Formats: sequence, structure tokens, C-alpha cells
Amino acid sequence: MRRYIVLRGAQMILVMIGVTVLCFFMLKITPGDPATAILGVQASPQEVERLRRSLGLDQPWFVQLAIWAGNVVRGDLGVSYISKKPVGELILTRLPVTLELTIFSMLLAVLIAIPAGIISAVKRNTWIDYFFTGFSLFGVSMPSFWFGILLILVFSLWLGWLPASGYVPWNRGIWPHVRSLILPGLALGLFLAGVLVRFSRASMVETLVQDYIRTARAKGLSNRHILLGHALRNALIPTVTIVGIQFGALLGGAVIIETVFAFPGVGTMLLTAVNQRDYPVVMGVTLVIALLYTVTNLLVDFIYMWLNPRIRFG
Amino acid sequence: MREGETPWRRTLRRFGRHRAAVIALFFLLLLLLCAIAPQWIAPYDPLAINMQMRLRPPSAVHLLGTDDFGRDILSRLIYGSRISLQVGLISVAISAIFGVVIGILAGYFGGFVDTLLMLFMDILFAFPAILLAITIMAILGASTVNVMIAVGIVYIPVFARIVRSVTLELRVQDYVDAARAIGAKPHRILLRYILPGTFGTLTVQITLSLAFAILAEAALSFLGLGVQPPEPSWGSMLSFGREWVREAPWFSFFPGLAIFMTVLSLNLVGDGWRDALDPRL
Repeated sequence: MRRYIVLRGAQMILVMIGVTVLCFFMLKITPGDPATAILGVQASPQEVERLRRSLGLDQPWFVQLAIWAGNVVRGDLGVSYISKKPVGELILTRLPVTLELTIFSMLLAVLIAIPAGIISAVKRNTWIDYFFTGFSLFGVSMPSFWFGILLILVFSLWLGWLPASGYVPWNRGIWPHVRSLILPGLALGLFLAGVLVRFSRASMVETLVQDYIRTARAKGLSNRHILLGHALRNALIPTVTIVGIQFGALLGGAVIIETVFAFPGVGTMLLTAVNQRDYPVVMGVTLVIALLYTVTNLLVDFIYMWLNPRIRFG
Repeated sequence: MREGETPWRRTLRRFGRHRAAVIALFFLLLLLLCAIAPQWIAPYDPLAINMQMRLRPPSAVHLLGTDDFGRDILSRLIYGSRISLQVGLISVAISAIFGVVIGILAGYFGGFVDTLLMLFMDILFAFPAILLAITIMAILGASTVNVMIAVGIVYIPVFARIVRSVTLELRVQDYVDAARAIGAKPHRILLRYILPGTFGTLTVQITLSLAFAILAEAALSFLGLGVQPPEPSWGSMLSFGREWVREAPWFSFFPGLAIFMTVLSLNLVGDGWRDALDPRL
């Protein structure tokens, strides 16, 4: 197992280096000269030249790559062309909102989908199973941005129960804060819920035909005991992996949902930067999210190993 | 398997048992017809502006209502199907072609080639799909062709991984060994013996990826990074309709419904086809 951890860690480090290098090249091929973009069109050629030199833009590409990689390791992601502030700082002020929305929607999805998947598996081929299977298909086919708009229409504009848009921070009250998260959380979490119902159902169906479940039944254990004590734990192990893999999709989806609900996260920042051609911010956000996703995947792998005794003691 | 039945016919028969998948297939064929000949089906010119008829609710004259420029929403949806299918098909073709080549080479040759190609795929896979598409669009600029390229690049790793795993299984089969033993060159083995073996899995993946690609195009257009106005695209129609959601909910409702129905149908057909191909079921 130790060998597997070392190999997996090494592979992740390679991927992270690759992600950083790819972001560097994507930034390199963006149109326009960074020094002119930072100083503005009224800057003199001497000033532009001086900045080019101090940014290392007069060096060959591999030296520039080394400078960029070194800066990334120190958390320096360059300077925004528009606000002139460090990109790392800008991302840090916005990232907590995005992460909170992502984790909130993940919790919503897990809380809805896993019980639904298990009930579906236990009550196989009944109307309740068909209902949840239909829900799962609905979840994976629904465009999150349309679902978000429908939620706003029904729960904000027609019923007036929840705010239509905007983020309320913690310090303005817990309940208003949670209320501001519910609709975007549901819109973002629906896809994951759809995937999880299907997956936890399949995993539970497979577990319920295992020999140890039959033994438990033969011992005369109650259905409830078998489900909660034996089947659930084992059926949930593969589900952890799916939640981890889908974390990236959720982070990506957050970019769209933040736009629908006017949330001040990295998603709206990314889109503003794309429209303003603020490339260091675009690439900074892309890099940070990709690295975050890579690390999460590694952690999920380790959690999976820890949960699964066949691998832990293998 | 029934006597004298070819595998192809058997798969079709098994697919026919999925009623929902068959209905979904009919919906997709209808959509294809809309995309091929929208001028025969659409009741109005999708670009014709009529400010006197702006934001009218669904009626006998305009079945799905009109938008903020008085344009007929149904006609714009019918013309929009062309963009959605075009972008979907071409971007999936890009992903499939590159993915198949990379996957088959990595799986067949193994060793260093495999490690290097798959490392590159892992790097691409480390970016959430829609985020990578947005970043590529930021570099290339908003246009329909660029959407196809961006969405196409994003899904290459999915195809590469699937084809690689199928290739790994096929390359140790007896018939491949036999071909090698009689001196067949690697390119002949790959094209003649391994590639056809990946087709079943590939068709399923292509259908499911089409659903993702159509969703991705809609999302990019919704964000203003994809197909540009006045060209009708479901995503951008939904985005403009959002501004009028209180006054004219139909303006955003029908484009959303069109995307949902298309993606749902592709998912149903993909699932049905996968079950039909699976010999264990």
C-alpha cells in the first residue's frame, strides 16, 4: 500500500507540474503584450521596455517558464491588467465563496441522492424505484443554468420564499446567509444528485447479493440491521470516489451558477476577466481550480483506500 | 440469441425493447430534420424583427411566443437546433478522432508511449471541462468554430481513456496474436483488428458525449462566449430571455426545454444502446 501511495503521489506531482506548464503556454499564446497591457497605451516605449525586462519577458521561453513556475510555487500569479492588483490576492478574496457554494451543493446532493439510491435499490422495480431513476435521468440532463432560472422564477418571483440573487455573508446573520445559498446550491447540486442516485443504487444492488449479506440474513438479523450495519458501509465506499471525481465538475459548474445568481466568487471574476481580456486573472483562476481539483482527487483516492480494507491490508 | 440472427440485428432488437430510448431516438430524428431543413419547418424568418409583436405570450399566431425583438421563438429554436447539432457533432468528432488515435497508440504500444500520452491526458483531465472550455474560448475569442474546437479539446481524454482500456483487452486476444504471428505490420493490426473492436464502446461514448457537448455549447453561449447574436443558439436565447424572466417567462423557458429534451434524449439513447450491446444483460 505504501508503494501505491508513493506512486500515486508522484503521478499527481507530475500532473500538477504539467498543469502549471500548460497554463504558462496558454498565457503565452494569448494576444497582446503583457507589459503594454499592465501600463496602458499611454506609457512610453522606455517604460514598457523596462517593465518587460523586470517581468523577464525579454528572456527565452524556457527561462520565462522557470520564472513563472517559481512564482507560482511562491503564490505569485502575476498582476491583473485591469485592477493592477496581484492575481493571487484577488483569487484569495473570492475563492471562499466559490468553495462554500461547491461544498454546500455537494452536501445537498449527497443528502438527497444517497438515501434515494438506497431506497431505490431496496425497493427495486417498484414505483418508488422508477421515480428515483427518473429523477436521476432528469438531474443529469438538466442544464444547471436553466434549472437555476426556473428556481428563481418559482421560489423567488412567484412564491417570494428565497432571494433571487446575491450572496449574504456570515456576519449578516446565519439564516440570511443560508437562505442565499439554497437556490444556487440546488441548481449546482442537481447534476451530482442525478449521478449519485444512479451510482449508489447500482452499488447497493450489487452489495445486497453478496454472500455476507445472505449470511447475515441466515443468522436472522433484521432487515434494518443488515442494511445499516452491513450493506450501507460497503455500498458507500465506491460512492466516495464518484463524489471526488464530480468535485471538479461542481467547481466548473459553479462558474456558471455564480453568474446566474450574481455570486461574488471566482466564477464571476473569471467571466469578467474573460470579457476584459484580463489574461493573468483568467489563467490564475484556471490554474488554482485545476490544482485544487488535482489535490482533491488525490485525497479522495487515499480516503477510498483507507475505507476499503481489501486495499488497506492488501 | 435467436437462430440465424446477426449480432447487429440482435442489438437492434434489444434496443427496440427500450421504449423510452426508441421515443427519444424519434425525437432526435425530428431534431435532425429541423437542423437539415429549418426553412421547410420554421413558420417565420428567425431573424425577422417586429417590434409591434415583442414579448407576446404563446398564441395561435406565435406558438411559443415572441422575444424582445418580436422574433418568433419557435422559428429561432428550429434554426437553433442546427447550431446545437452542428457544434455537438463536430466537437465530438474532434474528441473522438484525437481520442481514438491517442488511446489506441497508448494501449497497443504500452511502455513509454503509454506513460507519456496518458500523462498528457491526465493533465488535460485535471481541468474541470467547462472551465477549460472557457479558458480556451478566452484565448481563441468567441465564435461558433472556436466553440467546436474548445469543446472538442476538452473531451479528448475521455475518449483516449476508454479506447486505451478496450485496446489493452484486445491486444492480448488470440486473433491479434495470430495476425502478429503471420507478420502483420502494427498499422495493419491497429486498423484491421483492434480499431473495429472499439466501435461498440465508441458509439455509446459518442452518444453520451454529444449530450455533454450540446450542454457545453449551450453553457458557453449562455455566458456570452459562444455563438454570437443575432445567430439563434439555444444557450444565447436562454441568456437573453433571463433578462425578461418576470415579464415573459416563455422567452427563457422554451430554449431551456429544448436543451433539456435534447440532452435527455441523447442520454436515453446512449443508455439504451449500451444495454443493447452488453451481452450480460
